[in-house]
Amino acid sequence: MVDLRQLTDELESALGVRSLGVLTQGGQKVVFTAEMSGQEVVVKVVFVPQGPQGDLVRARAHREVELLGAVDSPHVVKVLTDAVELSSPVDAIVWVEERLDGEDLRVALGRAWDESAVRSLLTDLGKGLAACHELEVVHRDLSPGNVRKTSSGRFVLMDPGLARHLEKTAITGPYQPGTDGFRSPEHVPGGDCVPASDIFALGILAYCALTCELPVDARQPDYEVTLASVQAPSVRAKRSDVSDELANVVDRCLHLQPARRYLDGGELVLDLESWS
Amino acid sequence: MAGLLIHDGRRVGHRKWTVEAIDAGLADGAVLSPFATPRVAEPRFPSGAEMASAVRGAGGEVLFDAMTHAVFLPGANKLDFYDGWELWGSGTPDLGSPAARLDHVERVFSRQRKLGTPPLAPTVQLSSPVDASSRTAVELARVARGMESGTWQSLVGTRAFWSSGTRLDAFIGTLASLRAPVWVLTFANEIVVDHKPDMTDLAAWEGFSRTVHSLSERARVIVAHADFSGMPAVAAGADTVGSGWDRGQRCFDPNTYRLDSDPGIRIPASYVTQGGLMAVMRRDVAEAIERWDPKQGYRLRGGTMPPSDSAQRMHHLGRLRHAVADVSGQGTRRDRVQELRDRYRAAEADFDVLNRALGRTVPPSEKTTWASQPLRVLEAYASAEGL
Repeated sequence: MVDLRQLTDELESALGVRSLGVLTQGGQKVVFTAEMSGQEVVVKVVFVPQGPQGDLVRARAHREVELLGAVDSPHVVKVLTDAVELSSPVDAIVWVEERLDGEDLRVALGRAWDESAVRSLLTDLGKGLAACHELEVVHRDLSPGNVRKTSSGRFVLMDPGLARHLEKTAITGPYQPGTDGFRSPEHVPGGDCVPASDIFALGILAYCALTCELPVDARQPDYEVTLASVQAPSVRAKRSDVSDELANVVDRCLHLQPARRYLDGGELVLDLESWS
Repeated sequence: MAGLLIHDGRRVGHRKWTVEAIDAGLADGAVLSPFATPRVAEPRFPSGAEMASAVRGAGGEVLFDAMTHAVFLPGANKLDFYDGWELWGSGTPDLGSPAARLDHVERVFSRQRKLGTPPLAPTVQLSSPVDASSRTAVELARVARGMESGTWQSLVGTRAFWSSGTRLDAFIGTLASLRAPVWVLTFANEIVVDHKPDMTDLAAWEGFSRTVHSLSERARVIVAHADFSGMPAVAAGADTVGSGWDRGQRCFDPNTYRLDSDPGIRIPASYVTQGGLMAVMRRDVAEAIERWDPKQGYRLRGGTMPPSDSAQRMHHLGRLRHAVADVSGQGTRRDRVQELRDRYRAAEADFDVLNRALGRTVPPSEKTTWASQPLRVLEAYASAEGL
């Protein structure tokens, strides 16, 4: 059991943050709210297991936090510090991200959105993905809990696969990150996630926003087989009122073959802008 | 750029015939190979630089394909010209380490620069999209792109590779993300028994066409060593096929890269291309057709009877290039497919007429090989794509 008081003291000392409060806690991860240089921030803590698995977690954390720190987009949560290693009271990797207002999409996807809102979602997240993909960063877990809509209406990518990936790696070793229902056909064991995999996940979000349903039901027993081998249905089948342009974009995002999708966020945004 | 590229060969007249074909508008360029053209001129064999210059002088496009996929084939030992290109730092083909891969790509690009040809990345032959070789292929492609951002890429697969369904598609997604401006694809045969295309493996050829479709959405696609068997790929989006006068140019034949254990004296049979049938048949069959109905014979051949093998070489290129242009010239994929579908259906009907008129001289198996099997491939692809 981690002594949270001791941990917050260490975090204040290591990161220069103040006013720490637990936001979420579970598994191998704790998330705090805090203040840093006068701004509200989030502090993420991933515990490092002993042994070679721990070395893997450390190496991955340094690499991915560095990559994300280099991403500069209003549509990707900003990483404000490098990954810092704590050795007491527990072995952990910690870093600071900006804290955003608003809500994630878990509730909002319970009702059908209008076309302009879905287009904003695609455009904002497409721009966020473009910034990641330009640096060859693949998000790998584009799901409702990882997208925030701020009070100003801006969509922002959160936690680009990082914290959850690290947490799971700590427990299970190398694995495919992602959230059932929001995985791409490449998100299966042995698969190789590419930028077009994020595009598929964004297509799922857009499909859900339009229909309140998942294109591939994650509850079915052969979910991964279906995901990897069956073309997702056209959004037209559920929403005949959607414009051809938007339906084509969503369907293309959801193409079974990654080479037939938009290859990355930049290509998606270019297409969206061409029919504005 | 579209049409027909002539693969390298070892015939003594190769350079002359290639230049003549380009001059006559029957071909659009040449693909040089380190197995067929020496780096330094040898008696009767011009150097790579001389060959490139001759082709370019005729207005043709020149590629230098390092054929790395061939040098790793079991039994590949026809290395007399190959070794002179010094494509391996250690002298021995080895892609086992990042340093070895980098060195090889660097050497290939260096030779291509000296020849004035576009950077075309080397690759390895693949039998599966999820094995160690496929990872090597991706690593080679990434190294090549890292060295030359606009590099052209190669992809070579066996039937097993092209028939691997969704795993193939996922692999192609990884490669497509490299955004090569040009792809050179090869359908690699493991065994070649005669000059006729073997398109019986429907899943493999459909997978090949599907891949051409995917890659051609953003890039030019050349189908190497293809000849008439490349036509479904042209319908799927390729704009150029590789061909030539010999079997080793018209299809990917592993024997091309092996020393013949008993060269002996071999006189290849004489053939005549029947452009209307998109088929290559023996000269005695062509003459039987001519005797039966000269008017029909002219139509089926797509011209007068070539009086010699030399004339047949040019006649073949002309008929193939004409077919490629007709199909690739259509505005949409649907129209390309329909154009080729019409050609195969017309060929099937003509084969039926020939069989009724000439009996065993034109057996039903010829129709199957040259028209029905390719049509099945086309229809499998078209059906999967909703075309």
